[in-house]
Amino acid sequence: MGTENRPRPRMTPGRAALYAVLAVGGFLCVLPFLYMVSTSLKSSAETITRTSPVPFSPDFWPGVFRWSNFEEAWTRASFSLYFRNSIITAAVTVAGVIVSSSLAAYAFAKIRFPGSRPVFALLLATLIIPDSVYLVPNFIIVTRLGWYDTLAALTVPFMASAFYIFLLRQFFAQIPNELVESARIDGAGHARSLVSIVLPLSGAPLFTVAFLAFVGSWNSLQWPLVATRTSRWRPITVGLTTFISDAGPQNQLIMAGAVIAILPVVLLYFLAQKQFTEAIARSGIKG
Amino acid sequence: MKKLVPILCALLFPAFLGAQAGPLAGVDPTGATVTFWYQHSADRDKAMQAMLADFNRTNPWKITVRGEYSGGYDQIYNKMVAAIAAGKPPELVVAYQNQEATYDDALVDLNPYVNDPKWGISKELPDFFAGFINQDVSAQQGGKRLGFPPNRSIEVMYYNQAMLKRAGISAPPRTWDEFAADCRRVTGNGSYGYALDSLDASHVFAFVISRGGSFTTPDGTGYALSSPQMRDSMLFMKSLVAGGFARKIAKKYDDQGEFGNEQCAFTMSSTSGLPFYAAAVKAGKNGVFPWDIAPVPQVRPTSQPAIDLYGASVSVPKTTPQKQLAAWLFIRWFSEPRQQAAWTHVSLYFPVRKAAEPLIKDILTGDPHFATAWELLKKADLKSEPPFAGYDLVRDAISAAYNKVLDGSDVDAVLSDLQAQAQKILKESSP
Repeated sequence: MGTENRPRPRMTPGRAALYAVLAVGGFLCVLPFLYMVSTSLKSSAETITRTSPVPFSPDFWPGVFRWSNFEEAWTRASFSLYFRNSIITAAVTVAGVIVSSSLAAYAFAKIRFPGSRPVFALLLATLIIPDSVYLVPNFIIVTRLGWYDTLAALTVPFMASAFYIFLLRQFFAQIPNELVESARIDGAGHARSLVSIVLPLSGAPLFTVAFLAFVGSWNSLQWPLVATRTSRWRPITVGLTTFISDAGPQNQLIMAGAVIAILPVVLLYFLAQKQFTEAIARSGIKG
Repeated sequence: MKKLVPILCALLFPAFLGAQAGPLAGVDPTGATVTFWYQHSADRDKAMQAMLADFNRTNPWKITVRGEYSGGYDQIYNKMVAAIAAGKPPELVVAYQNQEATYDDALVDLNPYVNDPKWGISKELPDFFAGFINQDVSAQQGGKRLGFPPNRSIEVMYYNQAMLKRAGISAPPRTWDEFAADCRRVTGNGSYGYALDSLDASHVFAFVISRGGSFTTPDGTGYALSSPQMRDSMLFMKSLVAGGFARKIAKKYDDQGEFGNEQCAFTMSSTSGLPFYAAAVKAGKNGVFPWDIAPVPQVRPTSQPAIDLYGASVSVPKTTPQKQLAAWLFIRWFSEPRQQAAWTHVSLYFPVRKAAEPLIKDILTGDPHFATAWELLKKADLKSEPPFAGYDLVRDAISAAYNKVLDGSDVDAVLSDLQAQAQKILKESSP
């Protein structure tokens, strides 16, 4: 509604230059994706003979579009099973992240308790620990709990994240305390305040956290290989590795598999794009 | 006669004791289950599963080996580190020699198994290629045998016979001087000499040993990465790149496409890549052309070229005596000529035993490139990369140093820094 009446900005030389720079930047960002898609449609031979990196060259594209690569990638690497596993794992992880992160973020943003600042600082300090450091302790915990090769092993260790807590805490802190206090005067407890007041006002950051948690779970490879021994819960990233052998890759199948693997993430991003940018802007995080 | 009985008993008792003595005395592998973590995916995974099913069906002890694809070598390594810490290792795992050194005490020394009078293979050892079988015995680990080779491959030079012929060259280069001259002669009209993979330190090792050098000190206790052979190897490649006679490939395996499209005349890689180079030639822009493999050029002509030996082994982590013996019995079964030949048919890796040769006659007659590689294997002076714990990190440092030199950095400063880095890693990683 608002955009219909907004006057079109005048095209000045500076603006034209800006658009040109943005267009080039956009093109460079899209180029790897185009390369992935074009390679996914080539024959095995064409991945060797038609390898131009420039989309305007005929050699960038396949001579004949081989849509069967997608079928072959899907069936040869048991993608239907891996795809289902990835969906379930990501969904369960996202649910856990939302619950645990919103509870912790609410506590840090709206509840005054002794030591809240040092505890929050300690939590933030964990962000500097590389993920690989968690590998061994996580594996020990998971095996001692009897979770090896189960869905729990792939989801529970990733249901709490300092970054997501920080992101939500920053947003929750901007919600006026008066709103929460009014609810408390009316007899609402903290849980009710969180569910009825804070969360409904936090759609954008919640969507962002959900999106980031989904992508993190979807792209993980090392941990699923460590924490599983069968295909029962292994994700789609493991399926992709099966096209790489000791001495050479099957590029067209790897790319077809990669296209299949990123589709849900791309779809989710387009659905959540508005909330994502809004949440980043309002959390004060700079790229 | 009555007097003879105690004498016979006295004579036979030690022999009886000998059969029962040792760490395997009284161990019964019957009914054990063995989990095997390996890197084979897709078709090789299926073939391995079929072989495991064969073993499970036919072994008299009713041992069950369960094979599990566990990612690539690096992923298996990470998984093993975590599993050892958690006390939950598999009974059998694929590992390179330097990874074995890192696992060290978590692995079983296979020497007692190899030499055991009942379960061992000491009588068959001469049938194994010596370079293969000794690769897993490390001085750093006090002579322990921490792995056993299931297959092997070697580094070779792939060359385009048609390009050489067009340039008036009748035979592949045997020395680095000839190699440089040939690269110059074939360069032009969009083609060049050598597709250089600067991402893999194994190539650098191959160059260094071809010049009579090594990555380690003569006593095998430390790195020697600033050696004259290292310096010469890097400067030699730098001069080829600077002249446009060699080009760095952008990512691993890109040389296969460059070779198939007749853009380069030479590339260096493992013999396990033979089917991939054959496919690249078949798919190439200019159609199929004659090609072959030859030893990596040497510093001077020789009938026994120094060649880099490739291949991960299988190791037995410490679990229970029953499971350890069961894992060894699978290794022993896999090393038999019949199984070795079957695996060569699937993977085109070399079998580790000479007795497998009659069983791979069809490959040797049907695939001339494999036959060339097989003959080369028999006469080569096989050399292995350092089996040191932490060598994976050193490999990364070598690749980085190689790229720095190729990009123009001072070779002496780079190698001095590399040597210091490597020694530091060795010190921190040593058991």
